[in-house]
Amino acid sequence: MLVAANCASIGAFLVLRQMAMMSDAISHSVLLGIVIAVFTVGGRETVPVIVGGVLAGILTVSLVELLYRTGKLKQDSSIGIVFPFLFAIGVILVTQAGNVHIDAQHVLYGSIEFVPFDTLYLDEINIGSKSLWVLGSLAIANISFIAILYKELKISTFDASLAVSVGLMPVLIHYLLMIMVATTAVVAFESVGAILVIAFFIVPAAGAYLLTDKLSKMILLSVSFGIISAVSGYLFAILVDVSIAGSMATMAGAVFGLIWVFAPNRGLISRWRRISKQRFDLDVVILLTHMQDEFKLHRKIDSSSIANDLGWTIEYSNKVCDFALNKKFVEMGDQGDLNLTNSGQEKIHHYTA
Amino acid sequence: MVLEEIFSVFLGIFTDYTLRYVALGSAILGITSGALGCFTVLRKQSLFGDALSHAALPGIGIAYLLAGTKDSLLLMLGAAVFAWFGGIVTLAITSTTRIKQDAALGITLSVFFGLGIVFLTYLQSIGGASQGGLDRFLFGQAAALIEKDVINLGILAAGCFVVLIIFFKEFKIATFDSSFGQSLGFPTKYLSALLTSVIVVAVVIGLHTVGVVLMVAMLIAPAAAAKQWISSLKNMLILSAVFGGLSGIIGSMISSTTEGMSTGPVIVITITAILGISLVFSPKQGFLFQFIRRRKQFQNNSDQIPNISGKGKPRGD
Amino acid sequence: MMELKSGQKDLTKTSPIEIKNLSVTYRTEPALWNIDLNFPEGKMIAIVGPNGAGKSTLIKAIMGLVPITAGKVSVYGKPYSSQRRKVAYVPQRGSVDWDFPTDALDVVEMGLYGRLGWLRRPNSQTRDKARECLAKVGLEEYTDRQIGQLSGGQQQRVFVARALAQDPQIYLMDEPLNGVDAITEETILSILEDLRKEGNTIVMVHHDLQTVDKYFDWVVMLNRNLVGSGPIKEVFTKDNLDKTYREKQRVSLG
Repeated sequence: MLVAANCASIGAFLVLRQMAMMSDAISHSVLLGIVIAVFTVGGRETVPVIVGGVLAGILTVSLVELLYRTGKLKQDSSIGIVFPFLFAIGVILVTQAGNVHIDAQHVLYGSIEFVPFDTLYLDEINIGSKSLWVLGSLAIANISFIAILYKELKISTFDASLAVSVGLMPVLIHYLLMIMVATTAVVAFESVGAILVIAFFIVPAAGAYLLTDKLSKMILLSVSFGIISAVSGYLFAILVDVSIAGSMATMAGAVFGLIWVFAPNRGLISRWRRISKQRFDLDVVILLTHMQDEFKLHRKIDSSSIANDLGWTIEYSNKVCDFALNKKFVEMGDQGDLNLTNSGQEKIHHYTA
Repeated sequence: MVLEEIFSVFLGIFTDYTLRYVALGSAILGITSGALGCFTVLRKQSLFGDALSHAALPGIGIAYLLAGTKDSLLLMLGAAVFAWFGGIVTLAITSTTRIKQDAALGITLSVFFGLGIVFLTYLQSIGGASQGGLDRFLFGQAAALIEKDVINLGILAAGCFVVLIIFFKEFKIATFDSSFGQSLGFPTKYLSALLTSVIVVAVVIGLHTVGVVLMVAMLIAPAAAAKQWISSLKNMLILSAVFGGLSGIIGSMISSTTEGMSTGPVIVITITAILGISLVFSPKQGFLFQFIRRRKQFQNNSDQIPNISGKGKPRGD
Repeated sequence: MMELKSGQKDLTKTSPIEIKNLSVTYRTEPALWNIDLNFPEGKMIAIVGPNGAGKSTLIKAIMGLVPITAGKVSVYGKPYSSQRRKVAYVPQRGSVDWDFPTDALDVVEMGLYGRLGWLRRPNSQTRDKARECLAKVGLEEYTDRQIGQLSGGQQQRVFVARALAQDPQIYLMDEPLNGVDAITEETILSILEDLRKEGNTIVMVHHDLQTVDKYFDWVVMLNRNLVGSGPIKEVFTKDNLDKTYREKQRVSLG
């Protein structure tokens, strides 16, 4: 849950800054940093591991930018080359050193199940799970990061050149954000693994993005979706005995799917309704405008001549004409011909003005 | 000494059956993904391949759950269907919402992957799948390839190449200038879909050898490397396939020298090295030659601003 | 296919391009509204209008590259799909990736793909034809040049050469003179002038109002609606210009 909240809060910025895949890259390559840190220190102490991961994260971002600045590779290609490379080195190191307690699979999809057993003792008093403490402090760090730099993040996200002109440093903020991503990824690594970190970074934030235009609301929604997915995923996993992290990611996907389909305004259903209504409305106006033109030429028109002139099927032409008749935009003449009414004229005027 | 060792490993391809199949399987993957990767790079869909390979995972689980066999062709079919579905979901998200492509890719790859993990762990928990059976797709297990697998992979790859050769001209125009191609009467949308399908097949081959996570490198790196040397699409495809194939063979040979070293990551490191060499040494655009050329230009006429590639690189707009 | 030489009249008397009641909408936003147009044969025709006026959309709609909401387009009296061979399209230069690994000759050869159809491959004949067309635009020395290493003007000339290779009767060109050097502008115009004399119809989206009366015989003024269409002297008036550009803001706000 804490992981979810952590990731989701930063995720809002990643989605808005179009850096989703960069965070994907980072969360893969932190593996290398972690492994090297474990090698050098000889254990899984939290601080060196985080430092290692963050360094690997920065290395990823810099390498990607270096490659892409040369003008020889596009940005997405650079990402797609750098992280598998670093990840591959990490995997080889892991498999080569049997004494490191990192399992190659768990690198990918974590093993949140074991987190609570790794407890921390302070003066021999059990003060709870070590991971909880780490995650808790990270949450505080993330929240304060966003709270303190909220304004700066916001400006540099929406208008980098404005940020430069008012004396903020978007590049610095960019790297700070990346560091937070790396830190969060490292910490989340143990529990959910590399790929599912992405699920928590991006999926809740993307869902929130479909519901609101306000950044602050988006962050809050994103965090709530993250927590909902985490809790429901956990319950589901316990119920059917599957990977907790995998099930959380699936739930995050399900939550996103629901939002995608049902969201007011931006959801598929309301979008489809709105577009087909507007399309139809537009077609009615096209019909009326066409009638206006034809009357100037003193031609008589009916549904079939309309179908012919506008390239519509006769069924569709009938449908639009019936609608216009119902709304009294047009009226039926003596010989079945159609005439424009005053309210029809108004409708055209209303639309073109 | 060292030469001798290299020679004996090389000889191993002909004498050692396991190594032969591993090398052959990896080479098949490298050649196919190398050639098709050119299109993903040129269409600026590099990371699309990443999403496809992750999205394939639940397909493997479902195919196994339904069919109950580990028959690799069936699993591949499941993988292909889901990879395709993942691709469609990604496109649907970008076209119907304001979510940008990168986030859409992130959603697809992480959620599908999560679903895949759920299936795989479910299979484990009901005891159907032995550990090594299914989760080998995560990192790929080229080392476990047997004759039958290699034949299957070979058939799939051959299929890809037949389609690629038949529709080469059409794929080229749909990639370079899609609206022009459409004006000539080519259904560029269907061609793109066909091309994506062929790429899906390459991804499925890759799942067997390098696995879900590293597949994307097999699509991008050979193509990016070939692009540094070559200025025609046909030759780029060929060179990229050669690079991919080479890295497959070299990678599997290197990994065979060390106990327990997984093949996939070594292949990926090999191809990245080839890319690195290409970036530095290619005569056309390499860093090294740029540097020499700049030095020369600088010496010749120190008042003139040195250009990167002779005539400079005007950007179209 | 019968070539129309100078002086030869098209017996069927149909307009090369006839547009009736055309409306095009992107999603729900109208891009073109109720357009009626007849393009005359053998003329240099400019399409002018502010940004977002639907100039490119009009050209694309003729070829069915964008879905049509209402109305009909015919090319020599028939739907475009049966008349493709008579039309060549020159897209905006910015619409393609010039980093693509291909050379000038290859791009020109693409103009012949439509004629080749499915399955048949480019051969020495298409190669010769492409080389000939490149020579026409003055780029015979650049056949093997990677397209990214050509200047902007040269790239544009490659596109024109590709259209020439199609051997059409109608040229639909989207801003071919945008941002090109003087030599290119001159080359393209003299080629088009020759083509016009042979009875071909050239339709060009044009942005430089200063040169409209110098280069063209006919103008189409567009601002989502059709403001005017006809010979330069009659239509390209201050009054119409005001009408076309005055409402620029409203249109661009959409």
